[in-house]
Amino acid sequence: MRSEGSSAWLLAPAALLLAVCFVAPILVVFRWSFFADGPTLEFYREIFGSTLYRTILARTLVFSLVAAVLSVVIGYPAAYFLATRPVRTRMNWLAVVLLPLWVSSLIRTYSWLILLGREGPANMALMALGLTDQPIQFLYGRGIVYAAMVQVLLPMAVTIMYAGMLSIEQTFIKAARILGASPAYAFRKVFLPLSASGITNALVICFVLSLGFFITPNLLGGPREAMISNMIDRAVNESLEWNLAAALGVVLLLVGIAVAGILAFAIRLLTSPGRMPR
Amino acid sequence: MAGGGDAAGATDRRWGLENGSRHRGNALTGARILFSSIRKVYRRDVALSSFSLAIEAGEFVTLLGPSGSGKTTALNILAGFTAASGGTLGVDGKSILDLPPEKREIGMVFQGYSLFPHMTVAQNVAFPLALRRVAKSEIARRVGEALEMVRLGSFGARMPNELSGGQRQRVAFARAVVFRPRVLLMDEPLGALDLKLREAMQLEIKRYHAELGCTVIFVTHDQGEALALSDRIAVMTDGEIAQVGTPAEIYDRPDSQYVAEFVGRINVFPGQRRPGNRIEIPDLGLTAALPDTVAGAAAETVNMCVRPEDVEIVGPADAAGMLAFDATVEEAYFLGDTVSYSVALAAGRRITVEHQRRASTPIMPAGSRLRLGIRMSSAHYFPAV
Repeated sequence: MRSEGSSAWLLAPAALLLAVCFVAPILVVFRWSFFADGPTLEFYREIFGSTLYRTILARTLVFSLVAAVLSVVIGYPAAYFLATRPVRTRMNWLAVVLLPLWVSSLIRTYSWLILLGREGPANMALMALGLTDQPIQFLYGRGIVYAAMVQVLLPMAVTIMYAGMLSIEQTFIKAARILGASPAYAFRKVFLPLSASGITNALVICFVLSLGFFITPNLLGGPREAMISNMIDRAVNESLEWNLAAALGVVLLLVGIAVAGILAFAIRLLTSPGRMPR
Repeated sequence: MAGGGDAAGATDRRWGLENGSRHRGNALTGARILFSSIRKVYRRDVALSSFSLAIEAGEFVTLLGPSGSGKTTALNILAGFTAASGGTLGVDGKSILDLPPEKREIGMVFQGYSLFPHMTVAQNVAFPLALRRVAKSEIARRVGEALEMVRLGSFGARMPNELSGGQRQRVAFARAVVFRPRVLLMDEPLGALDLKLREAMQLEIKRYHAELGCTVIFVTHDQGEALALSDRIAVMTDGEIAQVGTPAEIYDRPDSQYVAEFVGRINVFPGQRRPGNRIEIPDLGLTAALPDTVAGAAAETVNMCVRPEDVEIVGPADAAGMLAFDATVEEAYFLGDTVSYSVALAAGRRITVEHQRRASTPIMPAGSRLRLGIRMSSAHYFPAV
C-alpha cells in the first residue's frame, strides 16, 4: 500500500485543523471537568445528585431521539422519492429539499414565533374562520419544539438518506419482482436493508445535532422545556461555573456516543432481511 | 447435443423433468410465447410498433438490434416491467399482460446481474425459492444443485462483491432458473464481460439451455453473440422487426440492406437497373443479369451487396461465371485465420475482401494488383433508399 502512505499528507490540513480546533479544546474541557483546585469528581456528583440536571438530561435525550426519529420517518419517503426520480429531474427536487437551508435556523425559529403567536396569522385565520374564539396557545410546549426541530433537521435527514439510496440500483427491485416478490416484499427484503446505512447515518447525525439545540427549546419551548445545552449556556454565561459546564459537556458527549452506537445497532437489526438459508 | 446416457438422465431428474426427454423444443418444459401486434408508445416516441413474434416451446430466440430499436422494450413488456400500449401477449395461450412481474413465473438475467449485495450467493439463489414457500431442506438442496450446475458449488457463503464478473454472471443465471421457470429472459447478459470470458460464457449458456429446455429470449446488440447462440434471430430496427430467421437465413439471405449491414459486414455497390432485367454497376464498369426476384420499376437504383468473404481472389482463368474485376490492395489486416484486405477499385470505391488463409498463404502487401471475382449467386440486391 505504498500509494496510501505517500498520499497521507493530503490529510494533513484537515488533521491539523481538527487537532487544534477540536481535539485540543475537548481535552481542555475534560480536564476542567475533573480538576478544580485538585482532581475532583464534585461536578459530576453535582450533576447526577441533582434531580434538575437528571431530568433535563433525560429530557434532552428524549427530545433528541424523538426529533431524530421523526425526521428520519418523515424524511425517508421523500428520500425514496428523490432517489427514484430520473437523473434529469433529481437535481431539481434536491434543490427544493435543500431550499430551507438557505435560511438560517435562527430566522426559521423566530418565524415560528411570529406565525404561531397569539396575534399571529395562524390564530387570526382560525378566528376569522370561526374555528376558535380564543387564540390557541401553540407556543411554549413540547409539540412546537418537536415541530421546529424536525423542520431544521429534515433537509439533513433527507439528503443523507438520499445519498445512501443512490447506490441502490433500481434493477434490484426489478430483479426481486421477477423472482416472485410483491412490491412490499421487495422493499422489505431488498431496498430497506440496502438503505439501512443511510438511515443510521441520518438518525445519528440528527440525534447528535439535536443534542446541541438550544435556541429552539429556549425560544419556542420556554423554560419548562429547557435542554442540557441551555444549562451549559447558563453555567458558562450566567453563573460562571465553567467546571460544571465542562462536566455537563462531557456527560452530553459520552451519552451521545453511547446512544448513537445503540441506534446504529438497532437499525441493523430492524432492517436486516431476516433469517435466510446460509 | 449428446442426448441420452446416464449423465443426461441424472440432469433430467435433477431439474424435475420426469419424462426424461430433454431435447430442444420439448413442449413439456419450455413455454410457447406469442407476441401479437404489441405496441409501446411513449409521449413522443414509438418504442415498439406492432411487434409480432411467435416463439416455440424451448426455442432460443435472440432480439438483435442497436440501442433504441425496441428490443429491451419488448423484453420489459414480457417481464411485466413496462405496460404495453396495445396488442396481446400470451404464454402457452394465456394472456399475461394483466399479471404483475411476480406472478409471471419468468426467469431473468439482468445486464448488470443485479445480485443483491447484502445477501450471500446462496441467499441470492434461495430468494425465489423462499418466496415460493419451498421447504428449508428442499431450498438447500436446490440451491446446491443450481450452484453446482454453474460450477460454483463451493461459493454459497461468498458475498457477490467477492466474485469475479464471470462468476457473478453465473450466480445470476443460477438465481434466474432455480425456481424452474419455463421462460428465461436475458438482457445483454454478457455485455460487461471481456472477450475471452464472453466466448466461454456463450458456450455455458448453450449448455444451460440444452440442460433446462426452457424457452430463452436473449437480447443483445452483438451480432456475433446472436449468430452463435440462437435458434432464431429477430433483427430489430426502429421498434419493428426487420427480419426473423435462423442465423444462417439472416446471414446468407438478408431481406434488406439494413439486415445485411447490421449482421456481419457487407460491401455495397450502387447500381442502375437496365432494360432486360440487368443491372449496371459503374464502380465495376460492367452490367450483370439481375435475378427475377428483385422487383421494382426500370431505371430504379439498385444496390448490389456482397459479403467480404464472397469476394474471391481469382486468376484470369478462374473468372468464368463470375463478375471479375481488378483492384489494388490499400491495406492488409492480418487476423490469423483470415486476412482482411481493403482494396481500391478502378473507379475509386473501396471494398473489403476477406481471404481465408493457411500458414503457407502469402499476404499481399499494399500496392499489389489483384483480380477479384464475385459469384452471381452470392450477391444480394436491394432497392436503394
